[in-house]
Amino acid sequence: MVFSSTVFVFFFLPLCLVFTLAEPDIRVKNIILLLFSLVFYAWGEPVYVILMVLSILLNYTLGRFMAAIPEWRKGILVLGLVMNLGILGFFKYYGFAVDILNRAFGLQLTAHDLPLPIGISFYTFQALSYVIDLYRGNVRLQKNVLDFGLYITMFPQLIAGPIVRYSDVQEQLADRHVTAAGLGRGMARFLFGLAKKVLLANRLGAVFDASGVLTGPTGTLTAWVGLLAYSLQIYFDFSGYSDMAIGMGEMLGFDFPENFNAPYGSASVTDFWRRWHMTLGTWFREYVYIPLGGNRVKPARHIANILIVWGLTGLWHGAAANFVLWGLYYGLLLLFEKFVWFRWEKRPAWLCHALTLLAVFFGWGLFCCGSLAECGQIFSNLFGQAHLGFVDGHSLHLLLSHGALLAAGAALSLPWAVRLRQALMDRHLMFLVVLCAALFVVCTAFLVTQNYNPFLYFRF
Amino acid sequence: MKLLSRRRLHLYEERQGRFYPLFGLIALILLAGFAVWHLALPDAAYSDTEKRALAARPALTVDSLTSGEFMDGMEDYVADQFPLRSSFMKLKTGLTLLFGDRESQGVSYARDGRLIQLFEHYSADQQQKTADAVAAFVQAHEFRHAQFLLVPTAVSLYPELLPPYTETEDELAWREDFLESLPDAMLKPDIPEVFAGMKEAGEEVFYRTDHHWTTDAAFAVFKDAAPAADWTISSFTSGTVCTDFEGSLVRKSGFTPRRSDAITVYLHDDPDLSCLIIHPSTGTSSGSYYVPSALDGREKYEVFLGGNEPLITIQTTADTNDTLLVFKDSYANCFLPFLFESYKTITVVDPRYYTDSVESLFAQTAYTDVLFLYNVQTLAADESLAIVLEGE
Repeated sequence: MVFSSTVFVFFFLPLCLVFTLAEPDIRVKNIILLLFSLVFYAWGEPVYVILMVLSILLNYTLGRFMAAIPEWRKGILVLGLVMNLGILGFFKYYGFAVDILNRAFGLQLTAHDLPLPIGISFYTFQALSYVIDLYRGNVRLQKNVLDFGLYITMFPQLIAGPIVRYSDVQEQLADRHVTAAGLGRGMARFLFGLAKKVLLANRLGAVFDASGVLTGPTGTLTAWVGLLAYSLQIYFDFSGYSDMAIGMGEMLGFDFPENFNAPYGSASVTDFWRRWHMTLGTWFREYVYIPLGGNRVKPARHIANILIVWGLTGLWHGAAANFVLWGLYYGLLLLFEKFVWFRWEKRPAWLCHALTLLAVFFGWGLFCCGSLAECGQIFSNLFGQAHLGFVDGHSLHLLLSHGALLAAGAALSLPWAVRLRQALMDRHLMFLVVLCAALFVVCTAFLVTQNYNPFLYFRF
Repeated sequence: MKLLSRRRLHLYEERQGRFYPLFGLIALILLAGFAVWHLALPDAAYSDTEKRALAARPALTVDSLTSGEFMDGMEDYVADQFPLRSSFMKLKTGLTLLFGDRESQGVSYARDGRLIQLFEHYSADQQQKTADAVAAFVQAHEFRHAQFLLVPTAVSLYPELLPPYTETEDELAWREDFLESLPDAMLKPDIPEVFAGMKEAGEEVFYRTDHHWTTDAAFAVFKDAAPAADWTISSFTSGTVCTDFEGSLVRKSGFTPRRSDAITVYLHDDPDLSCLIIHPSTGTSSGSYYVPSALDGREKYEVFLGGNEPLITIQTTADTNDTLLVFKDSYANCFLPFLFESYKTITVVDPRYYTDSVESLFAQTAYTDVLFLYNVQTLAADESLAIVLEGE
């Protein structure tokens, strides 16, 4: 189920809230929440829900063994890593790996095309955070399999993050404050996220599709407008999902970590990655970068560490060459900033902001394509290699039809919008009510007409 | 941000403490309220505005659950049957229009609120196929007059009303191409010229809310084509039968038009001329071409002929032995009455719905004339005319 559907907003969510809020006993509350979460997942993945349950049982059992036989801890950890990453690798990377082998060695191996289980990258990383932190002694053993299941399946963050580490919520699983005030704050946060997704991201996505920048030659301006639409779409889509997740967490008494901090206001690429998908960055730092030695090693090793982490970060986003390229692109940019750019101490702030946005913009050019051929197409369009001129009719059509949306999106992607939301939620409560009422009506209008589909063949 | 004094911070917290519980409760009641409203509302089977069957509650079976069909069906069902759905649609198109997006579902919200259907997709292959089939059909039979009335639509008549840089294909070029592939012996009246004259005279050629031509435009084209086709131009009295017509483009796009249209019909002045409309599919017949009761319903355009039928035969009391075979789309519906004076029998085939053989029609009537009447956009998107003509 996705959050931006009428079934979720008007049936699933209120039903789940009524049941969990009415139940005072936290044990029972957790079971209700677990059941709702399983239904939520099964709604989109009626078969793979079994895979998720197996993953829960596997990691729960690993934890029990680790506690029961401390001298085998290391072996159990390795087993856990191999099994979790094996499952993820099989479902996500198998086809990609076979493709690489075929190309490299001229083999004719065939990969069965398994559909990717929704959210498997997210819940595998969550499960790993438990096993690794248990090994390190940073968290306590979870003896209740239902509570552990709830941690993995919890529907607000199940399919699109934030990646909640077990240490973030281990106390809250056993004891948390579910309050009416939390319900209210969470509702407001959820509504802001829903508006980002439905009113901005979905429409900007349509502009990107209409630009046709991936599928064929376009004029230069068209390509820039198209990629701008994509850059804004991906921010509002992803951060909107995170807002909704954090909001729903608050309604249910959970305190999930923030995942975005106005990343398009960043002063450097290093800064950007502290503000974009923050929980993923934390995960890679905690469980990959620091174990590799981080920066407390020789420079060559340090550089290698950074490239490894960013290659993997790219790969995490998708099993395709362009994602690896995208990750390495950021690895190189970060190295450049660390060793060259930051040494220039009087670099002007506006230049830093502009260059960062430009670097991120080209990054999305690598990210948005489905194949390297499409990457070639979009970059050739961006740099006028399609020889269709800078401005053409199509670009003006896009700008006239969607310029206001693009401008509004660009403005709302900057830090002041986040500060405004905070100010409204903390101090200007009457404005908040008016804004929320308007957003609710408009979001509903866009939600229920998503499948507005007039019969295109006229009856006369 | 400025640091707030401790007292003010405390004040804000206190206000939030009173505000948010109430806010949360009201929000929850609103969400649940819509769900209850939805459940209480009887399900509609059909949408008048969208002209399609609405999704019904899906059946719950093990198969539909494991395949995900049930879930997809549920999403469609909840969205389709949502309370106030059509008002929400109007709100949505109103807002997107406000943001400058003047297109919805291939319909442009043109200057002064006129709705214009854009000419977007066609296949050159299909264009050739249809033209070949028409040419072969005409050459295989001996008609006195074979005529193609290919009517351009509003998009090519009012390019200046479209928002700047609207993207649409060239309808007139498509029309030229197509007509050129037809045999030279066929009659192909220059309809764009007729329309240009009407436009200059300030007459309405197209409805503002509907994709059809007006009856006035049909009559002007009839008069223009009549001499070459040996049609009798009799005298008519025209009258407006409704002024609150909101046509197909309104429901297709969801745009709210600035004003509605008027429908005009033309009646023969000759009291002795009458006609009998025979519907072979239902075995019924009626003495009137017009269906006034349609004006009370949502589908006001069905006042002409009661809508589209695969096949009808019109018998007239005209003093002639000429007979006509018509292949048409809905543009013919307001046009046909002009021909009653000129033919004894008119057989009207709508290839989109007609599945029988065309040759079997010749067994009953030896047609002297054949008329193809289409608008460019329907013909460009159509595959059925070639199929019916080739008769496989």
